[in-house]
Amino acid sequence: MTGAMSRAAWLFALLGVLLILTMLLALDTGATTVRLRDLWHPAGAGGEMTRLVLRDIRGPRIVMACLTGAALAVAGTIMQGLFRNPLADPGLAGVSSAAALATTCIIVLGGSGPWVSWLGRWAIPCAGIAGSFTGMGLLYLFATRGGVTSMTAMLLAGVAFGAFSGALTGVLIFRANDAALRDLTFWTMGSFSGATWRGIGLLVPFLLVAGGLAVYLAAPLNAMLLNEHNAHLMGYPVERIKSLSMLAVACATGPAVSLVGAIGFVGVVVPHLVRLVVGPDHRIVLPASAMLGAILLTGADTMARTLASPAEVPVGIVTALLGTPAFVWLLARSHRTGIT
Amino acid sequence: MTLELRDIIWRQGGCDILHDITLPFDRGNVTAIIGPNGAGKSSLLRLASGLSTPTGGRVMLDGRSIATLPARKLARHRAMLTQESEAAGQFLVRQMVMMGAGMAAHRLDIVQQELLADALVRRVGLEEFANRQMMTLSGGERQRAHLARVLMQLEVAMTDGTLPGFLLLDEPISAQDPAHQALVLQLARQHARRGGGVAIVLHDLNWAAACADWLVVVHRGTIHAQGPPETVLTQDLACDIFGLQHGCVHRHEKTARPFILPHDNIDEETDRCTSP
Repeated sequence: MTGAMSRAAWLFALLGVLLILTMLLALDTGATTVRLRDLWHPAGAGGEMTRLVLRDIRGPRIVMACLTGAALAVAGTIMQGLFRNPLADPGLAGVSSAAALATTCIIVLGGSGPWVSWLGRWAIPCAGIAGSFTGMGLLYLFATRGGVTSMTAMLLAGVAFGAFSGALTGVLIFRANDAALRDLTFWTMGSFSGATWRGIGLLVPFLLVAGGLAVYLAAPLNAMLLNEHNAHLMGYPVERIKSLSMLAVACATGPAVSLVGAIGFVGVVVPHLVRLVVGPDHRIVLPASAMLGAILLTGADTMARTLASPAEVPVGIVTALLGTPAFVWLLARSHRTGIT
Repeated sequence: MTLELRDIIWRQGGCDILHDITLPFDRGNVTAIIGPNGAGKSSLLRLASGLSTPTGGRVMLDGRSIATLPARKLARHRAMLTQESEAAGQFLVRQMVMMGAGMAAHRLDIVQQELLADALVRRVGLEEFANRQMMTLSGGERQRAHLARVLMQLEVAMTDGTLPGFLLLDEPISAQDPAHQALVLQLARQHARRGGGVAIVLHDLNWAAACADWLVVVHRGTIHAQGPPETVLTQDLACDIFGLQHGCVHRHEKTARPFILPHDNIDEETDRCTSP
């Protein structure tokens, strides 16, 4: 354990340094050339421009990418621990598909409703958040009988629910006009270009709840890896762990996906990469995944906005392009070594 | 101070699995539960542990129904080794044993937990494997690592003066070689001598007779016989319940405990008294 702990301490130090470097690099990189030191010496027009770019454009974008990356990675870690399945990701819990359906409803159908105009530009993220929690809630209720939640039923229902909401989303897309289609394409591929400090303000309370739950769940999720019966025998309240895990996944994924769109692979790949280095202990894997998720998504977003500068590639495309080979490599490796 | 099953009935899928079960497990005693395949031995142990809820009757721990005890409190007084010894993936043996501390882990600092886990890993004969990943162990080694985790659970509970709890073991020697079968049963007896209660489901009648203070024979979902091994493991029982041949039950010269020496020729049809 001592060896594992010192290994974990090194990993946290390394990830901390990498996170700071990635954020600084992301601040410094972009279509407009700015100098970081102008932030502290804002005299002249160059300083004004720097403040605008760094504080109002890149700043919120980088913070949003960090938070989203951390949230998706934590949600993926919890899902994989809970389902004892290394391929589980937040999408299986019905959160992403329900958020997509709700968002598509607003984009295609709901543009003129009174509450939509009252919510204004927050209508889409609010619908996404409401949709994701509703989707998760329905799945949870479906899989729970007599106070016992069947994770197998939840997994299968999640797949069916995903397919059904996908079909409904498809019907809506079929009815969409050109403007709505553009919005939808943008949303389904994910982007941080609309990130604002207000959006971050909307996201943070949910992430605080998810983070608090993740701290509570770390040790119980270790016990759940030994199967539900053993976790119960060891004194863990198994049903409460399941419901709190689902709540944590909904809080971490729903709002993030609703604000920046669907971003794949972070939730699946990041926990795997972390486990390769520090083993399966959730007390280490959860915080380390959060940090690596933040680093990878900030890096991916920086690539997304610089690869085709001044145009932008949707960040979901970058994560998929980088994530797919990484995922295949992980699968091949686990097949070779027997580690899954 | 007992863990007691009272008037237990348990139905599953419309079948009566157990009925009319009243059985106390006393602290300081090793109770071995024997019976043919499908008799209901493991079901009985699962009910005693609180993993399953009886259809009728109650399971009482020191006078309180375990249905009213939260999992966390129950875990301080009983621990169970199930038949499913999960591979526990990439966990190191020592890490897995330390997980036995469960929600009581805060009672000990990390160094104390490590020392206790190391001592238990040694007791189950896995000191060489303490830093090996669980998935690299054989079935028997894995089973003993889980036994160490289960013992850790009760040891940590005892650090605040709680009495030694009940140790429920479901076929704990099924994957062990003879030397380690003896080791596992010795550990169970040691726990009973320290004042803990032990209930073991066993298929090996000789080990059951050798290690138990009290022998319980389960047959067709109910208790067929119980008592000290000397009075329970008779020739009639061996014939009627286990389908063994006449003349297979002997007495050990030193301990006077019964033991079975089958003398079937397995290539020939044998004249068994009854089929189980």
